[in-house]
Amino acid sequence: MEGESALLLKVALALYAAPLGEALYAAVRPRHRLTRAGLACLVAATCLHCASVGWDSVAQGRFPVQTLQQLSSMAAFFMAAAFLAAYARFRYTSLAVFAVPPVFLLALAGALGGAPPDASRPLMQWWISAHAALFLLGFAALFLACVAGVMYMIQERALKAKRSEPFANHLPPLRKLDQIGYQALAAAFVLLTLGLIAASVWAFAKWGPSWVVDPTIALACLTWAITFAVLMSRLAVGWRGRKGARLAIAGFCCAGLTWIVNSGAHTFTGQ
Amino acid sequence: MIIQLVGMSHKTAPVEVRERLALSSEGVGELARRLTESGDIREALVLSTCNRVEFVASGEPDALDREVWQRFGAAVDRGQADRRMLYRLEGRRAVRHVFRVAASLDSMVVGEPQILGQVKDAYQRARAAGALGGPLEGLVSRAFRVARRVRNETEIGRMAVSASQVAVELARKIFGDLDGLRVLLIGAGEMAEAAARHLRASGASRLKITNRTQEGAERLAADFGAEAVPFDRLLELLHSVDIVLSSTGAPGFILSRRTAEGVIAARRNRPIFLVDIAVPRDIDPRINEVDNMFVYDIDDLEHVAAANMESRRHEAEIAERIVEDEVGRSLLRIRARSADPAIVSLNRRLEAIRRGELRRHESKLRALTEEQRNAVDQLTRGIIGKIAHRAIVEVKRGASRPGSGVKVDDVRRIFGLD
Repeated sequence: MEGESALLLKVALALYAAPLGEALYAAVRPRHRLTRAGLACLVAATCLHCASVGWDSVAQGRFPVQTLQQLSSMAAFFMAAAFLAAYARFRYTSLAVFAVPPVFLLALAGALGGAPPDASRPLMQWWISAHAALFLLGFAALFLACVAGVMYMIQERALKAKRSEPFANHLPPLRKLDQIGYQALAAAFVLLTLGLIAASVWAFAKWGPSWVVDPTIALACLTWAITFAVLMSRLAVGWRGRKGARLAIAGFCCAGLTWIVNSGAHTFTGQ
Repeated sequence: MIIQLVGMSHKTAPVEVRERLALSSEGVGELARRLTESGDIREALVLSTCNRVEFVASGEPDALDREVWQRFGAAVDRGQADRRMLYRLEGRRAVRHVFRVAASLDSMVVGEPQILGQVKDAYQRARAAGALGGPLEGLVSRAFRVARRVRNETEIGRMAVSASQVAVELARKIFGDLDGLRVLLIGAGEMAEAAARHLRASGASRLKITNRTQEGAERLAADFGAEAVPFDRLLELLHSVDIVLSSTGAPGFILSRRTAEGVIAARRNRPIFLVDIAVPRDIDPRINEVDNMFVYDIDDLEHVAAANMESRRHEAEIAERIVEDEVGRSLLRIRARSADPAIVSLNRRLEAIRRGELRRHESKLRALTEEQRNAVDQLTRGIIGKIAHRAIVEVKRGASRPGSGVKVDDVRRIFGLD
């Protein structure tokens, strides 16, 4: 990783620490809300993070997801941006309790050392860059749907059990969580679909019409199928609430597995 | 000069006695002013609500007690009441009481929000009548800060403690904003109507009413200005409303689980909140197991209210610690300020001496140039400043921490202040 972008990422990481601290504190003392200062730090961190990945792109002349570190950093950036977009739209800071810690961890993984990208690897074509960017964005949207889903399950469980739980008392209302989850999932579906199309075009050009058997690709297709199923079940039979929340969480787990498998055509170089 | 308080509240006197002392909100300012006319009382404030009548003052010890007893002794004595119903507090205990009242810790329903407004009103009226303007004024405005701290740092006023409030709070947890939600009231009943009013006040304005007898529904609908719907259209209504308040006198369930499953399918799983206030119950409690249907009966609401009450008590303990902390700080401030009048007269006295001496030597000083005369002026000012400085520091220390420094009275005696 270039020196400047690594430095930017480290400053961003330091700034992410402020909202992280608040999010962790809010998990113990549910009354606590992300303060203006915490939110400002998060916005500043996301901007610096954007500058860091932008720097990498320009310096390397490609979408910077060559190594696992770069991939983590990029995912963290998209997830932070997704959270801020959701905040701008719905104004619920309690999402931060679940959203900020993974962002921080991924940014940390991205900032930790890491081998310089293998310059000998062929430059990625435009199609494959678009595929990677769309999939990562889709992943970030799924992440948001998952966060909303988890919060929905907690709130719904407290309501069904007829208990007054301090933590649930400060979560957004069910209807809003359902809405956030649905909109995030719809966005994820569009992004994943476009990402799959981009990947197919590229694969077709490279390998011809032969089907590539690869766990990563299979899991990616499964993720897409789950988001498709959630949207269809909602539109066709009105599945929402707990079932929708569960499916959104399943979709995100599946997407997570896709990245963890890290195999075949998608192998990323680690340290 | 001491802060003192005399009063009676729901804790010490029954309403028959309190109502004899109660004053109109216009009367409290006037009475506060009259209390300060006696001379022994420097400032006064009168708080009169349905739960308490309290007089707070700064002035000579026992002055307030005498005044209040003179004015209201007869009124209190006339009933079966006696003097024990009045509490008399001074100094630290009086300050603590004022803070606790403003922070709603002394209220019948701990944490209720009205009392702060009532204290503010009493404060403004006393101020307008010219009955404040010293340590008491500072203390009362401090009480507002204490109340704000308690509200911000604890959850004391946040949780609903009546069944109908709980119903509204739960609706908020499910739907968020209640604006535009459709509410169905089935049957009549005091609590169902209270909950319906609460919901409407919170924004859920589209109310429909049905009843097993059409006349009953129409009468209620007229009361609420809502729409009456025949009972046989109940199922159809359940497809479209968001919140149902049920309190019929039906002997069995009017909504079974099987019917409810059909209802939620027809609603395409849009959530519905069913509040069953009837005894015997109207709504099968197993409906709560159906996704997106939330059923609360009267016991559930009462349990949530009781749990909230319990947490209010817990929060009240945190609030008491905040009050104690603030009492300590306020007393320090009041004590430190109590030396102020003596310091002012000390400065005045020394300045008078200086001017007197200058005047006495005027004939000799006349020969001096303007510049030299200024130098003499500065010199004499410097001398009295240096003499006064030590005395002021010591008297301030003595005022804020009794037992250390110099007593105000000693300074007055030494310098011959009045």
